[in-house]
Amino acid sequence: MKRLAYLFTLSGLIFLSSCDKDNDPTPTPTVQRISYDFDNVDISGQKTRLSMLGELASYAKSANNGSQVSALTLKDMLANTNYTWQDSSLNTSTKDIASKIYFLQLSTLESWIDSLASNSMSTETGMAGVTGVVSSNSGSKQYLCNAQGVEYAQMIEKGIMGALAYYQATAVYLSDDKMNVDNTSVTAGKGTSMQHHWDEAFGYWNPPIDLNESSFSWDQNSEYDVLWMKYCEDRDELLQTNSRLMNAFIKGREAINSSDYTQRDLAIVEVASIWEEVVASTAIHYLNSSNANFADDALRNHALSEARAFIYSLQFNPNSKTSPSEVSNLLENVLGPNNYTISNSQINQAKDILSSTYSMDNIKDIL
Amino acid sequence: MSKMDFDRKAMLENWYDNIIIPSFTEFNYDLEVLALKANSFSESHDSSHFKELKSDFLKAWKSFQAVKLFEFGPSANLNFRSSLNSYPSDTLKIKNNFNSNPNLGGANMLNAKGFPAIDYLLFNRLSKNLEDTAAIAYLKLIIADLEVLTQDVNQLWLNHRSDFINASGTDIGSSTGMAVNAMNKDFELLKNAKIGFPSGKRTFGQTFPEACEAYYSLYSKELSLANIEAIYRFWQGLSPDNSTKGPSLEDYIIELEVMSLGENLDVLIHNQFTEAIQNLNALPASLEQSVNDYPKEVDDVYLAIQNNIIYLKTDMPSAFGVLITYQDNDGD
Repeated sequence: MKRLAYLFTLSGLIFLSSCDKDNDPTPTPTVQRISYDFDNVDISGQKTRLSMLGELASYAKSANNGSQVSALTLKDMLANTNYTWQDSSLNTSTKDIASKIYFLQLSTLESWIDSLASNSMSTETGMAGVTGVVSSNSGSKQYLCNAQGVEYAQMIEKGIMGALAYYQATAVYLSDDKMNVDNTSVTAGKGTSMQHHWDEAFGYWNPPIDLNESSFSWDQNSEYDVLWMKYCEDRDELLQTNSRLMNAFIKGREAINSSDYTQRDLAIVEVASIWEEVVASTAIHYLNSSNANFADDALRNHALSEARAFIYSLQFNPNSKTSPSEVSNLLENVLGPNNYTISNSQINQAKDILSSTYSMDNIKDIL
Repeated sequence: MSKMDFDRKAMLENWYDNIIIPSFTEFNYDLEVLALKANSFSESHDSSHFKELKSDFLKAWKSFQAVKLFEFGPSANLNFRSSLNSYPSDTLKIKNNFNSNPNLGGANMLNAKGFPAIDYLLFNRLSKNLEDTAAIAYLKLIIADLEVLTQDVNQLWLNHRSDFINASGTDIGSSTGMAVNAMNKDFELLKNAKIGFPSGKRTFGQTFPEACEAYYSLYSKELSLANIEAIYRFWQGLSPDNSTKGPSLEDYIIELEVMSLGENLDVLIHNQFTEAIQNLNALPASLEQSVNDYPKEVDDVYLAIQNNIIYLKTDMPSAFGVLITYQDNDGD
């Protein structure tokens, strides 16, 4: 299948180049290309912020080794002020994460940062009712959790993935405000305003552009195996999230290139809903993991913290099938506030609500 | 013989009708008896009732060993095994629970309930005759908790016959795929939690007899035997009373003529099960005592189990085209 589509693309390219030669105004043929290899794509701003998030998350997780982490440092990283990045290319950047986070949730994320920093002062062994580092039964994993078993390093990393990247892509760049813009005057290297906005949404996913090529094979040690792309890949086997999301992004960019706004609008819906599937199915995956590790405080707390953060992230898509109030209900009532006293049926109830909302009942147990 | 020729559906029917349902029925019955005996004891605290209670408790714990491997399909997400059998118990937590009316469904209560907690209440050497009424009330509470969970799981299995038998492929989600995973997971728990951890396999030889499954009743050897025998019977397609032998994983291997390093895989697996059972039987003392006093003999048990894992977890699934998808985990 992939090979066939590839041949079509080649012939499409030949056709295109002959158009150029003849200066023929015939519209671009609607051939699905395989790679996101368009001209004038600049997603450097997104890549920069994702790199910053990566470094921020890794500093936050150093608390799991018993290190104290500073809230001030984490907030400086968020705002890109007074902080020297290990990746020195970030030090000349004027971009930052904080100003791109959904503003009504910034204070929540900052409160999680404060909690992480104060939890990291604990020198006690973590357990139900006691903040501190909790070790897995086998001793191989350690996570700093509060007295309710919440691992804030996870909440912060995955929460920012939602409030920054998923929010910017689905709620900002693919919104009417950013899509009803100029699509004629091309800035070299960036395309038209509309093209650029589309590319910026794509940049927050940040896949290898040849992800769908038959020659592509996933490398777990690669720099692309992080953040949303990593979870998209993890769900790909059951939900074909990689190829579907890439196709939707390509479809939208091609539609914009040929000023076909009907197709573009279809692609907007597809991108947002496929990405939403990644968020929801990853939440279910971690609920399964918390069930599988129910008897292990560290592994269960960790998996539940991941699940909570992905559920929290569902609210950032403006067309989410899970409303912000349902997100609160899932987190506060269904799962409840405590990862130590949570019951198996609470976990299963949250899982059932998600799998039924996202039509994933048939795969909910194997996600 | 190709993979297509083996009648997996017949194997699933045998599992369901002759092994899974009868095992749950027996366990359910033994639990009901246990609950009745706990009631009689709470009404008359005498030594004969206490003795009966203890013996029926051990019987129920033993028959649990024959159902704990069936944590898949309808009972996949209920944490049946960890709710009934997390050890070692937190005895302080148990005592704190006597007068606090705890929510037993919480994950933090796993090590304060189930069989290991009852083991502590009934066999703890410091309170020989269990006279504390709060302790007896708690005993009844955690037995009721066992009963409710077991009845739920039992009912789910009873309603699941056609789903179970019709999922006759070998993919993730098929009954064969899930059963091979569940059997291996339980077998690894036997190796790691029942034998390995108490005997110091994870701790550079430092032993933890108090982490044995039945530390207070000294019944861990019998429970390990009951567990491995149940897994062995399941592999052979044998009913719990050994009266019926139907199509099995063993038959499937024989049909496919699977070899491992030049030998028949079914024979290798048989021999390993037999050796492990013999070595367990040959322990000169309880497992609790043996981990300290007979390390060589315990080691023989451990190795005989470990040597079967490559056959059961690698060779067998790959011959069937079954993917092992569970994560290793320690602790029941």
